[in-house]
Amino acid sequence: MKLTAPDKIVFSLSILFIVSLYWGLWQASDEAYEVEIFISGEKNYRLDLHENKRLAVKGKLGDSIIEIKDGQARFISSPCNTSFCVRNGWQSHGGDFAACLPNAVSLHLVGGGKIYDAINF
Amino acid sequence: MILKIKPDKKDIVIARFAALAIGIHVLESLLPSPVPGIKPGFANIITLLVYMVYGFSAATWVSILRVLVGSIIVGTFLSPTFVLSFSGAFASLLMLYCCDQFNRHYLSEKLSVFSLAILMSMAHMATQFLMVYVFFIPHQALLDILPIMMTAALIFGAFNGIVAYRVHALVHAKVHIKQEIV
Repeated sequence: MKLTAPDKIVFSLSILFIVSLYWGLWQASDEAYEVEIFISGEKNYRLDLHENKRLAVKGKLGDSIIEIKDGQARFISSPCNTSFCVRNGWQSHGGDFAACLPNAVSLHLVGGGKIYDAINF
Repeated sequence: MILKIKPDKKDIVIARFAALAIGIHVLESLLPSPVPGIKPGFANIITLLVYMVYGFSAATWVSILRVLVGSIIVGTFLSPTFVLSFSGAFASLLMLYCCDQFNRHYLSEKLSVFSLAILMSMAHMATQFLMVYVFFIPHQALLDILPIMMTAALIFGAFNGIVAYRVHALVHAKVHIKQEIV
């Protein structure tokens, strides 16, 4: 079948377009740029991950201490029995989260591509 | 008062091709598809053939008739599926119109039916995706399936374009041979 010059242009542009779709939409990029801190389900803070700081977040049981450093966030300490939140360690990717359920404090990282579309827990 | 409508020759031609396209459409609806919304769309071969032989308005008639009557027969008339199907057909006909204008007025070397088929099928798929995103599933995660759908549109569009080209060449060859014998 005879392909004219415009045909070849259209075909190559289509291929390029589709490849760019995969490249643009399917990348799970790691970088998160902000952290949202929820207290009892309500969004209280939205902080930049690149401003290093430590803050005490007051929850149901007391203060949870959250550290933000170099694009990552973690719980340092929490007034709960088991401290699963602290043991989760540093969160760095978009969509990552750590939660202290007894204290009703959670931090969620925003930005980059979401690895998970939705999480129920 | 009795109104008599006499179908002229053009009506008959369009009706026959529309019937062929509808038949293909209904038969194809029996085939299972891995992802909802990805189908080969073989009936578009008829649309392309009609465009090549009879021009844009005939192709529009055949396409619209196929979508309407096909949906009635399959049972999805006025359902969300029909909305998607119709909007996709509208978009692909719009693309056909643009390519037709380009071919007639702006291009020295013309776009072949291969490119037409690819562009029409990608326009169809993109419009359907947009309709789903706006009206049915306005969720960010839907974008994850867009590359797959557009790839399928490209592949099936290319296939349909090649088939349309071959059928057209075959028909022309037979007509040519017949004229020679006579």
